[in-house]
Amino acid sequence: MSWRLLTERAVSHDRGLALDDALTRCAADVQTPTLRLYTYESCVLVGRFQNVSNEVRLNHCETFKVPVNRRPSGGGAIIMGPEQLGIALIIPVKASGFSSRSSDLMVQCARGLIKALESLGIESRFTGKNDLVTRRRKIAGLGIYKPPGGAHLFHASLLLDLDIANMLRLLRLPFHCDDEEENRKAIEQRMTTVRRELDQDFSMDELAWRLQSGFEQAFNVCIEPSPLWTEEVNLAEKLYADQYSKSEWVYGNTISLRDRLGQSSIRTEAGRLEIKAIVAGETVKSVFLGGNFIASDSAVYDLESSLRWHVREPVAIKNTIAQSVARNIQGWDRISVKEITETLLHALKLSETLPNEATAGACFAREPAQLT
Amino acid sequence: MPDQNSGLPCDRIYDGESYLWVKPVTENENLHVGIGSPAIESLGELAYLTLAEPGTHVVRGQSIGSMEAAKMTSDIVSPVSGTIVERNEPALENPRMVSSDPYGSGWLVAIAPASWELEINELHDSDSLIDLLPVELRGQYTNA
Repeated sequence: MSWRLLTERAVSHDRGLALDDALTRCAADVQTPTLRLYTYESCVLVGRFQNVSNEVRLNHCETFKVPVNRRPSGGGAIIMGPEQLGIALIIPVKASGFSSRSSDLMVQCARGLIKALESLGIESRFTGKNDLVTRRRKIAGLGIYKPPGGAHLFHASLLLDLDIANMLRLLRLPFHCDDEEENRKAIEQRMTTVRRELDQDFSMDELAWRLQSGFEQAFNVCIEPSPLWTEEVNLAEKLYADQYSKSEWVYGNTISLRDRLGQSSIRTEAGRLEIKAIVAGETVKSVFLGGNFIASDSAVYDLESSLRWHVREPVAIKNTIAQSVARNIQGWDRISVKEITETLLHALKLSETLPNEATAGACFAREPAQLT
Repeated sequence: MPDQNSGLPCDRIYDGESYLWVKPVTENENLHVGIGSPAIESLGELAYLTLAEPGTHVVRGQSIGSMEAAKMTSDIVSPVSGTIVERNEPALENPRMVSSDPYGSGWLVAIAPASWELEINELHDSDSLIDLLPVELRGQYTNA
């Protein structure tokens, strides 16, 4: 069996998104999946339901002439450019070998990235809602979107490299403080890149080839270059004109439900524990642990992961914390379940009352801010 | 009430692609629309939800809203044509209601139907929906 391959470099934010969407809508009645590997001109992309002003430093984007757009898929705000590989896998409803259950489909598609990284000696795994992590740091973000009557679109962005200063300039991050060095460390503790893992220069062309090969191995298919169909080109042009080039799509209020940030801290025998929680309605989207407390890398990682996308119900939260601490009992020396639980619940309570909306940064919800 | 064989409520009918359910509301002849458990099971917990406003004219197969679940974002495709007369405001504020009580408090919209006599033929009762489910979603219902 063979899939189609489309490759591009330096596509614009609006036309790049429009083509992904068009490919997905045009694939309803076909059987052949399409893999698109591409890079964007420098831009910021927010998730489908995010509030742009909460996520993005719009004044800086304007100053540095970095455009902002909105993905049809979910997840957090990201910067894209020549060193971030965009991956779009269009999966027709009639394509064989794919799960119809979204959670399984995400895992299936992640295997293409995992195989590609494996070929470079980088071990990675899919975890949580939509992250691919290596050494407990996020290296790629994943998402799935399905338009009305269309196919499934698996979206991913894989970091060949990352300009951290640029990211700090353009995005509002939940752990942001006045100390730029601390901010940089916080990102390095949460994210990694292919070049960082390899500790050597590596080209985008080589990475794209590895991705193609990774998907071929993961799905036992041959992926061959293909031209765009006229129908796809025409629909992409229409979606560009009607949707992705429109400020209403990018900046419009898409939901009544707003992300809210709550934060609280406590002094423990192991040091000061700060917890920031981002909440949407009854969902705890992500939790960030910071401060100068002493705990093991894996213990904090497990707790942050366990609390991501968690129901906002005190008993359930307490149970999740207790279970995570029990799994990593050696790592939580001198901090109790009670202290963690009460600090988080206090942060959640404050999120109800504080007037500020959250700086969500949901794409960086993996790693602890302070590790030992 | 759940069908004893399938585990799906048999007092409503279903769209065979989206697994949205439609239930006539006897007192005013409107239709309640919600997301069936096979779709919830596939999507995971809902975190965000948008719904078209009352007064919006909708056509079967077109979007009446959108959602972000744990693993996917998607449009909510109307199973019937008509006019939205009410939407579930509490569910907009707490989308987890849709996941936790999909056949009750987690309903989405009420629609005054425009072509109900025709469109009812394109929907499925709970038994026949089971036959349309993919294998990985079917098992739990046939075993219910």
